[in-house]
Amino acid sequence: MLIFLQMIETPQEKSKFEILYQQYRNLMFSIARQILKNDQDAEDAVHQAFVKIAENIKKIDEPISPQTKSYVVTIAENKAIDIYRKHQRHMTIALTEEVHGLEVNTEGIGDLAGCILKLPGRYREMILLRYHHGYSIQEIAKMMGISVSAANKLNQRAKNRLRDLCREEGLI
Amino acid sequence: MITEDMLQAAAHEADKALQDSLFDLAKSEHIFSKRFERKIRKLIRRARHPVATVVFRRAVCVCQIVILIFGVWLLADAEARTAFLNWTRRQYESFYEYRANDSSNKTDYSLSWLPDGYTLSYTRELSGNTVQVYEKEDGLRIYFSYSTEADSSSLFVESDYVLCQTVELGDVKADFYRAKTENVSNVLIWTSPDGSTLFSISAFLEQDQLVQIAKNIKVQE
Repeated sequence: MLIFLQMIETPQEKSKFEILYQQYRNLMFSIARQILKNDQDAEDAVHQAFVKIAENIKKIDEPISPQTKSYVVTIAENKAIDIYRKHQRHMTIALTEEVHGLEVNTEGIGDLAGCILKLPGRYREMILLRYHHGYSIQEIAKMMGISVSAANKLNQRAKNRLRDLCREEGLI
Repeated sequence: MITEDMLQAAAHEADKALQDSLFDLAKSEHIFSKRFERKIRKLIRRARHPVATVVFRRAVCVCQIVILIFGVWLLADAEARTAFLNWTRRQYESFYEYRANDSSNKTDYSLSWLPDGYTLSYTRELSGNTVQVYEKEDGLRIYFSYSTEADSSSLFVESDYVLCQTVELGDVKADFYRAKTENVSNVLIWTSPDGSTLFSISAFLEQDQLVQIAKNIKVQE
């Protein structure tokens, strides 16, 4: 809201935002739709994702690039899972973190990378934002709309789950 | 043992696999609803008027006496617990803090009565805290917020520019913060009868109008 209004201030950033919108909205919708199975909820997820993107517009260098695509996909999935969680109010937070996001084919890729892709969506997003995009815990907390301490806990849980998965797969 | 370097390398590989798997999804075209297009147009319109945004932001800085900071506040003081069941109010030198003591279930609310001309502009949710903004054509706004997921949340009210008094909302007592100057909005803060939800309304409206809005809050189905 107020934070959002403060975010996009220069014509370059405005242009960047419009390019992002035109380029990725359909992809983001498809991702959200796959998780939420409902058009209206998926559109809400896309809108919330764009609000988050607007807030973090300064962090995007090239609107059309693999890095940016990966980033908007992660944010769209994250917002879709948020909405999914909202619809599952009877579940505890610990359980809702288990929501699986996008289905990804793990054939032919490395063992550890395969385990990352098998993680529940929320955990996978944390690992990718932290280790692929290189964001700090503080930055991720802002993107996910959670407190820094909650993001720290999520990061720890994601790594613990990854370790467990690796053990199950006999990697460690 | 998984090292940070291993994680980084694997994350790059996982991301590439994820991107490759999106190839089919990227081709699909969705016709977005008018409601969605309207919201996005608003988003882009704000982006197109950075000057207006800055002016508006400054105006908000002046008029906004409620600072909605829902953050981590590592503080606990039994003496501070007052009339509220799950929320306590604590007065500091220059602000009031409302802090949750316990977590509770999330329920969504909306305003069923509004002064003439106000309509819902947008809603924002942050970790169990919801802010709804109602706006008039002349730019005046009503900020309605509620927090039901109380884990480590605080709401702060700057106390330098307001006078606090207690008003009644039916069976519930509320704190009415009357602005000392005309460029600062009035604020009403109260909790639900069971103490689980903290509500606040901030607007350039008189006490009776804020009370009427508060009395007409409804649970969203």
